[in-house]
Amino acid sequence: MDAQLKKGMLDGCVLAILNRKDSYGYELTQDAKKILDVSESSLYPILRRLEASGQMTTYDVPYNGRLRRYYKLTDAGRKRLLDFKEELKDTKKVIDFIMEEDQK
Amino acid sequence: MKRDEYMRRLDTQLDGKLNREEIKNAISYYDDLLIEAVETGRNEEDVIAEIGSVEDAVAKIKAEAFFQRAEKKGKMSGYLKAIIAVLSICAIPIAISVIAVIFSLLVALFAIVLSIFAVVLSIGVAAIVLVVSGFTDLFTTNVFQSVPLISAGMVLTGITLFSVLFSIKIIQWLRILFSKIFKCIYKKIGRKGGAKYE
Repeated sequence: MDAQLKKGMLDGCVLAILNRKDSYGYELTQDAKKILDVSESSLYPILRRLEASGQMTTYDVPYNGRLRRYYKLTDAGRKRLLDFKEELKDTKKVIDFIMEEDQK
Repeated sequence: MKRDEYMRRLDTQLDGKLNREEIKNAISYYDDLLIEAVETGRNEEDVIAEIGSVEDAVAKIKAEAFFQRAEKKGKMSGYLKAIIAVLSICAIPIAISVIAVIFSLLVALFAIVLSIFAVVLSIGVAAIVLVVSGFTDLFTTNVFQSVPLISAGMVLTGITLFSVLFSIKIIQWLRILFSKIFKCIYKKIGRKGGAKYE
């Protein structure tokens, strides 16, 4: 996928993953990689930003003798996801238009 | 490259460039990723190759940290602007009262100066009237009536001259007094205004 398009989608992807269930770093990056071709280093800034803007919080759970950091959406994060979905509805019109043109 | 080496290089390259909190966050993110990946049975070096170079990671971490600092700064100045806006709105009644006080002081000053002029003018007019009527009496009626009039007129002329000098002094003194009062008000407002921006 085009870098610009990917950039726009990445936030929404992470929000959608965390909306399904709380997740930890490795699992989250693996889930994101299944959907988008994205590197671990590209996901780090997104996670930091979501946390800094209060859309996501973290909590630690003991696992294998250490602490595993889980990421969890806040109400603000769920709100942002809903807004993002609304924006995607408009984007879909554009996508449909482009695809239609392509088929002719 | 093994996990230990990757983490050590990451730490060295971040050290001194970011604060402890920012470095701790980044280090624990990458360390957790590597530990978890290896725990699922994957080859350590494969995982590290997939994650990418230390330099790339450092660049992304630094960019993000600087972005967040800039955002925080922007937010702070936003809050400051809001506080100043609220304070300015709160200051409107104070400003109105200050303006009213200054205006009333100016009116009082004007009234005092005007009344001094009126007093001096009336004494002066009385003096002229007395002297003139005294001299006209001197030629029309008798000397015994006109002399007291002329002498009273002379006395009043003296009083007039004296009161002109005296009123000039009073006006000078008022000017100094009022300029001191206005300076005091100006300083008070200036100091309050200055404190808001500290």
